[in-house]
Amino acid sequence: MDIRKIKKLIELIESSGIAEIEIHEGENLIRISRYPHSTPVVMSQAMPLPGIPTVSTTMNTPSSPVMEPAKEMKGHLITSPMVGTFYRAPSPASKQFVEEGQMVNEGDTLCIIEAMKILNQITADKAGIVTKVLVENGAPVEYGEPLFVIE
Amino acid sequence: MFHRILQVLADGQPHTVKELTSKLAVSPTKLEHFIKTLITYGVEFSSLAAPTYQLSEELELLEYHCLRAQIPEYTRQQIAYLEILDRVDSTNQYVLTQEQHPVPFVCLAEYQTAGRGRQGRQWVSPYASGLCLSIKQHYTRFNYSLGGLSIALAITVARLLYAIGVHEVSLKWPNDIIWRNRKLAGLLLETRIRNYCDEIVIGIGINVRMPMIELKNISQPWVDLQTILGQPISRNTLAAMLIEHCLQTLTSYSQDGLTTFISDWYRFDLLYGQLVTLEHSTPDSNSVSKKTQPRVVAVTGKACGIDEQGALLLQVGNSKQSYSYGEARIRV
Repeated sequence: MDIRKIKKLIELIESSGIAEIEIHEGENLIRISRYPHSTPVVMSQAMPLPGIPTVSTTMNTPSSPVMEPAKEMKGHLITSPMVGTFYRAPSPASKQFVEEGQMVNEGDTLCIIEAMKILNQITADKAGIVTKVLVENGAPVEYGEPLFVIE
Repeated sequence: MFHRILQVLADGQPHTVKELTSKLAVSPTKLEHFIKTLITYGVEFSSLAAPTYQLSEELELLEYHCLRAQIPEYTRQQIAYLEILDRVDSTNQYVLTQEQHPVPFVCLAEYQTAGRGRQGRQWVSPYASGLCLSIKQHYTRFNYSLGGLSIALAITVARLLYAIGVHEVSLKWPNDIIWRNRKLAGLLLETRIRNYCDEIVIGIGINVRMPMIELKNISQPWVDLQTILGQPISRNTLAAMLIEHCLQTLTSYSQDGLTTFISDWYRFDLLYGQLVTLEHSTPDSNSVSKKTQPRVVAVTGKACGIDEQGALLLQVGNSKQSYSYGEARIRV
């Protein structure tokens, strides 16, 4: 595939809300993802963040499976959109954003994930009751790792 | 009300309770309550015995018109919304959640009740003793990584401080602004991930004139600008300069990334050439449970600057490695 075409695709995905796109063209397959599938904690290259696409080209290989949530879990799952460190409160002196059993509205902040020197507030994309907090405060999280269950 | 009380008291002269209550249309009991709260916010009084109140020295409050007038016109026109608050939980939190204001949205506060830093730390700043500044901007316009932006802004603040006479200012990767091993300023970038999110908030705290009283909750050695410069500096002037330089950096970084900043990183780099231990947490791979306990991993090497993404470069044995995050300590 033409390098200019790939560049165009990256720009396109960057200006959209799409997390990942896969395009087949004859024998070629290209997958562009804004998020890494599994990223080691220490990298010799910059860590991708939302808004910074990573490119992986493969030749007719099936797409690798994204981390699957546990099957028995009920309710709506909030997963981590990035690799980083998970915090349940804005500062050590503050109250935690949410407790198990608490009602949340759409847009409420649930936690902070620190990545690349940036604190990212993760919000609820659905209203409901937080039935489970799946990660300990201060723990590192992977992309796609389940963080909360909302019912 | 805090701002109005202090506007009267800012001259450092004694003022009677009678004068204050009539000027501010407040009862003496209410006035006493406000003064007591101000003391808990770190404002120092030399006279507290009624019937007079007096500050221990003159105080410069942030004033909207005075501050705005000192921002060069070109930059002033770029600012979509400027707001100065008396008291807020955290200016970053405030601008993150105020969705009705257009960006760039610039906000300052005299006092933060829950100022914060990286790695879940607190940022302590008594009332009117420093600058607490937050700027919200779109980041879809950036062609470069947001991690590098934090480095570019740290360099921006260091350049400004150097220009006003802080010649020993240095930067400790990634975002601590240091003078002779004491913390002078800090920087914190935040985003709020929503279904569709494209905004970043930069938060900057600078110690300008800290009170003499012992400050609790500060976990590390600190210093303020007045101590370094040996003379007072106008907070309104400094705020205007800071806003101008940060907005310029937001523009230039979005076009050129770190290229125009890297050489200045070496000017200010506190860690360069030092043996550094970098600590970062990682999931415990032996644990089968989903609720993994963080495990701290340390790597030691000689610091040799940053790469073009702003990651710390460490010479470990024969290889040069770059680290995007972690906590760096100089080994003694």
